[in-house]
Amino acid sequence: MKQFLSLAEELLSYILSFLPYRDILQCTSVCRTLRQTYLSSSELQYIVEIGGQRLISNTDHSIPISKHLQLLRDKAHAWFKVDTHPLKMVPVTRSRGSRDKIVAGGHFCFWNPPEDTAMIFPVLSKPSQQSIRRNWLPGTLCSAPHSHNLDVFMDPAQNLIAVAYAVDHKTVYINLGALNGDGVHPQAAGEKLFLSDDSENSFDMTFVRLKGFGRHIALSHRSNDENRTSLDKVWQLQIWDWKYSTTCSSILSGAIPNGSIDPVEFCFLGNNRLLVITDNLNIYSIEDMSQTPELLACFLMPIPLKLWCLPLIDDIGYGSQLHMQAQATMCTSDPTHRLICLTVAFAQFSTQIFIISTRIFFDLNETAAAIPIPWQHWGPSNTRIFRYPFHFKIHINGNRVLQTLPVDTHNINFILQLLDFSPLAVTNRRGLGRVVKEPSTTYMSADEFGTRGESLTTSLPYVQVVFSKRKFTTDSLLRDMWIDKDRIYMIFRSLSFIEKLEVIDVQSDLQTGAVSTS
Amino acid sequence: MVHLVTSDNVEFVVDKEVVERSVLIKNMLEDVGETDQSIPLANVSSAVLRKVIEYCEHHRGEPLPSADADQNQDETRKRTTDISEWDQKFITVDQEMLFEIILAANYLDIKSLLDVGCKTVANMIKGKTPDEIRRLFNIVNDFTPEEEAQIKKENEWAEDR
Repeated sequence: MKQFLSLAEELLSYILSFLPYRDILQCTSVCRTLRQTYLSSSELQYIVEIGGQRLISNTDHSIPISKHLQLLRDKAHAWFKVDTHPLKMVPVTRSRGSRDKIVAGGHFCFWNPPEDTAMIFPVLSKPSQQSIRRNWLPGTLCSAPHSHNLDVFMDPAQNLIAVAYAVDHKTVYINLGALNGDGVHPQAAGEKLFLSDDSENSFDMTFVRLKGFGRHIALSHRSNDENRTSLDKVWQLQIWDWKYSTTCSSILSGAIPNGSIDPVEFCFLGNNRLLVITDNLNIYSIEDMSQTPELLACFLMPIPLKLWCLPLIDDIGYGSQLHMQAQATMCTSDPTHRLICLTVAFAQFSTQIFIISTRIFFDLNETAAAIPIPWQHWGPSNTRIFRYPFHFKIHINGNRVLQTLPVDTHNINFILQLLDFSPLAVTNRRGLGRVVKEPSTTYMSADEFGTRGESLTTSLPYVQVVFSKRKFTTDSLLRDMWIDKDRIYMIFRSLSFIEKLEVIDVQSDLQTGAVSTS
Repeated sequence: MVHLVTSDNVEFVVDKEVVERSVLIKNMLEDVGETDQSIPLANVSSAVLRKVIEYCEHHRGEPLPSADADQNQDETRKRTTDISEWDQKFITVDQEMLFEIILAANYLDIKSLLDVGCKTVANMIKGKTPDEIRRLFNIVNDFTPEEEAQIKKENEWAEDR
């Protein structure tokens, strides 16, 4: 009796070769024979690779394989070639002193403290996206009398603008508004959030940072302890569930070491986890907002961070929408598989970048909270350290890192490179970029003079893609850059009052990478 | 005329033009020249050969793919599982016969018939879950639960995109 499985392997693989990639993959989980058939046929793997990776949008199978391969090669080089195809140039009014310019959910937004103006506009609207366009004139961000603004947080995905402001230089509130209209945000628990009373310390208005993620909003600041000497400072972090309550009972605080000026660095990791960076990395649960955040674990860093750590780079705080979109994509589908980036700068000499996979912040066992976890136990395999000259740019999104890479010893010329740390990219992205699995060793600077200190070996694998075609010089005035799921955004300084925001579509087919200038 | 003898010792007498659709037989005839000797086909039963000859009779006169064209055709080979109406009727047989035809077409080297058979099987698989495929072909799931989980994980990347 002839059965399907009694056919020779080459016949089985010939039969499967008529199938679309999804059906081929289904077959691989039927039984060992079919799995073996798949594993020994490069043709089947090729079909799956092309279809599954969506490398080629045109799924017309009548296209000859040679043509497919050509398209595939082009596509593989698309990462390299994108720099020649800016999708759009957007002029942006130059604004001195604006800080925290960000690109989130397809919008560009910033707040300019000296002028007290703010702006949000869609960079390139996607049909599926709500687009918000608004310009706040001085005095319109917050209408409370005798107030001045301390920080602004915008989340286009939730249509939320939160403004931290102080009244009469004494009391601080956070206003909750809708981005696309006046008045209170429809889902907010109230018009404004109240800080918990802390009359023992005086609130320092200079370093206030506001961040949000989903239902959480947090404000960090420092205050002067009036009972102690004037040098002693403490940081405080208050967290609200802004959709549920206007008061805060979730508070963390600690001492700021001498010499450091910033309040505490923090970021939301998703899944109700909060990362607070002191000298080490502290993970808290903020699931129960009626109490102080619960310390889940403390990860020790190989060097004390506090004095050297530049603002933490995380896209998570701005990423509610990116986060939701990301559910559907391979590289960032899981909040437990993202990256954070710690930048440790040593004066003018060099900068060390710690790229850390957030998965370790979720794989915690019960006893973890009590004992700090030494660097050697978690660091090397979950981190990749890079060392760069002082002037460089970096941005992360999900599992991807976009950074500038110097190409000469004087650090005048640089190119862009993209690193993809998603575990699936490392295992599946054959042929696209270079997979780096080997451990790398960097030397920590022992002091501000760049003296060689302890050596650290790290081995988090990644795929490296270098955009070698386009060189930038330090004169090209690249001010900042961002990456999201399918685009790279770069903002260039110019001599006039108009800055240029360049958008590069990294997912587009080369054929459609048309240049349009507005 | 060419004499063919099947595995169950049945002799078929077929037009040379018809039987030369099989590259195997065509080459044999070229090698030995004109002969009255019958050609033994030890791998093909009479029931199957009858089907194969029916196919070749129907497609008599259609151009044979040359060796060069074969290369080209393979490149542009449509992965669509379209089968002409007559072929579809012809290949509507039980599974055992279907696999026998595929084996015979492969052995006799009749590419167009092999494609019809393989596309038919592919069509049967299309859109089915692993479980449905197992039921279709009477396949036993011989993976351990761990292996199954592993494969699921490996295939995850291509899903839902």
